[in-house]
Amino acid sequence: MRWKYIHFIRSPSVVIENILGTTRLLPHNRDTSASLEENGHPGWVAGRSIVAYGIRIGIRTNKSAFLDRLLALIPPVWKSSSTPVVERLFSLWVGTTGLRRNGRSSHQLYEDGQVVANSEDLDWVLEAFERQVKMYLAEMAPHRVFVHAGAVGWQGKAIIVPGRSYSGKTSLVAELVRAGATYYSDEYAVLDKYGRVHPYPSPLAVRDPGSLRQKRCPVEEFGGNTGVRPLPVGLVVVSHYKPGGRQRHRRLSAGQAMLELLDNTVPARRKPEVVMTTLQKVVSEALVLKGVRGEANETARFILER
Amino acid sequence: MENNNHQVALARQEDLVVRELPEEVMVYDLKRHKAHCLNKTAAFIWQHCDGQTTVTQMARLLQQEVGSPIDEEVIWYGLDNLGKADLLEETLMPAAKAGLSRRQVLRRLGVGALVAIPTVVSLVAPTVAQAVTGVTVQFKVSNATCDPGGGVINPVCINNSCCTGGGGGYTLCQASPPGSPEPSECGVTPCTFTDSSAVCNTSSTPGVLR
Repeated sequence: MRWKYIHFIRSPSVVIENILGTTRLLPHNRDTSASLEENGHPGWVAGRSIVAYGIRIGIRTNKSAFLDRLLALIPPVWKSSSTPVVERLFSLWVGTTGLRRNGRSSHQLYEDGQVVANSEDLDWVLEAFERQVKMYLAEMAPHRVFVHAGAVGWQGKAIIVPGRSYSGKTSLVAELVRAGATYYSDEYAVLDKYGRVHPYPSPLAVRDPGSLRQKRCPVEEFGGNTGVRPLPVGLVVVSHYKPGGRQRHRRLSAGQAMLELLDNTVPARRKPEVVMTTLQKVVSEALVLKGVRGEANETARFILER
Repeated sequence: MENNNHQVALARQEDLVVRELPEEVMVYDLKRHKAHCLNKTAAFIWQHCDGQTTVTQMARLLQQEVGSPIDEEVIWYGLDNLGKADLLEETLMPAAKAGLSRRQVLRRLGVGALVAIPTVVSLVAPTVAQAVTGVTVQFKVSNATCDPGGGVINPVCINNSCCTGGGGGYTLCQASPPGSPEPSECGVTPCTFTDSSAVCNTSSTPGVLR
């Protein structure tokens, strides 16, 4: 593959990152070169190609100090890749204070060539980066089906709690962990072709009451551990929080259960055949309950007693 | 008077993903991105929509299957539901048979027929943005009203943030990844609500809903 290397080196659009005397090509995708002038911003100075869930993505920024901060926001299971050509390129341009008349500066996030976030609030742009990367991986991962759900391990089986935003997944997962379950995820149940759940061990995203902002809490703060091996699903709980409510759940048929899971499945439209096969495996083995739940600690006890 | 019970129906075969479960059949419509759960009776009727079996014959076959008398109204009700779910090539529903409600069918057949009532439960498959936790909006949205009837499964409406989902009383106002079937309105125009009472705040401060 020597000719490819020469091509990159000779190309005027290639950026070479120099870190501690070693050189590395900045990530770029097939359609977009790593041009200095791309997006109107000269000076992408730091970047990394990584592989996560079978997808190669690139990250670059104009401030090398931000590279580690970006990498810390990527979903937990990834490794560096030496290949600069990526399937999706995320670029963070950190503005410089004082460039504007009001003294404030704008920060931009690009996904390939498109601006996906533009704000004076850097934290918000970083949140957008985290969200866009997660969304891309969850949709495109070739060998996994991402279901929006909390997941824990208990007695050799996985318990998953599918649900949309504000459905209380994180609170319930935290209580399950406090009660002795092993942490797998508060965000996605990552399923393989056998319907087993793999760990997606991001810190739990805890939201203060009445706030949209989340803070990240390591699972250890809840006295728990993170699972390491995939587990078959033993129980799925689809529940809606009702303040002061008591546990009322009914068993769903396999078909009803598949609909509930499908409603929370990220790549449902992209690869429905794979999704249907995977969900079928889950519902053929798991007990699926649906109903109303009260406070998270009571619900956790109810679930673990099943 | 024409005897409609000699009519036949043909099940749709193309652009469907079908998975058979012990008591039900799941069907995913690749064209409309809808999933359907057919109970045993609905699945039986659908599987016999071969363009040859008449409604009368279907009723007789179903009767043999369940071991109790089956009125032809049950078959018509099932065909109506399957037609509404776009699972038939052509809807051959006579006006008198169309639009029967489950309650009407039960009233005609008696409560004892409950087990035989064909049921099709449908779901619109979520887009990526609907299924993930975080939804980014370029503009904050004030005074928005989620329309629970608009296809939103778990409507969340918090003042000064944005509803997720689409349909019904509002349009999407959320970032979509390139290639997503949903148009990205962010950075182009503020969201536009079909409900004129809702107000889009064009503040440059973006909103975040998780």
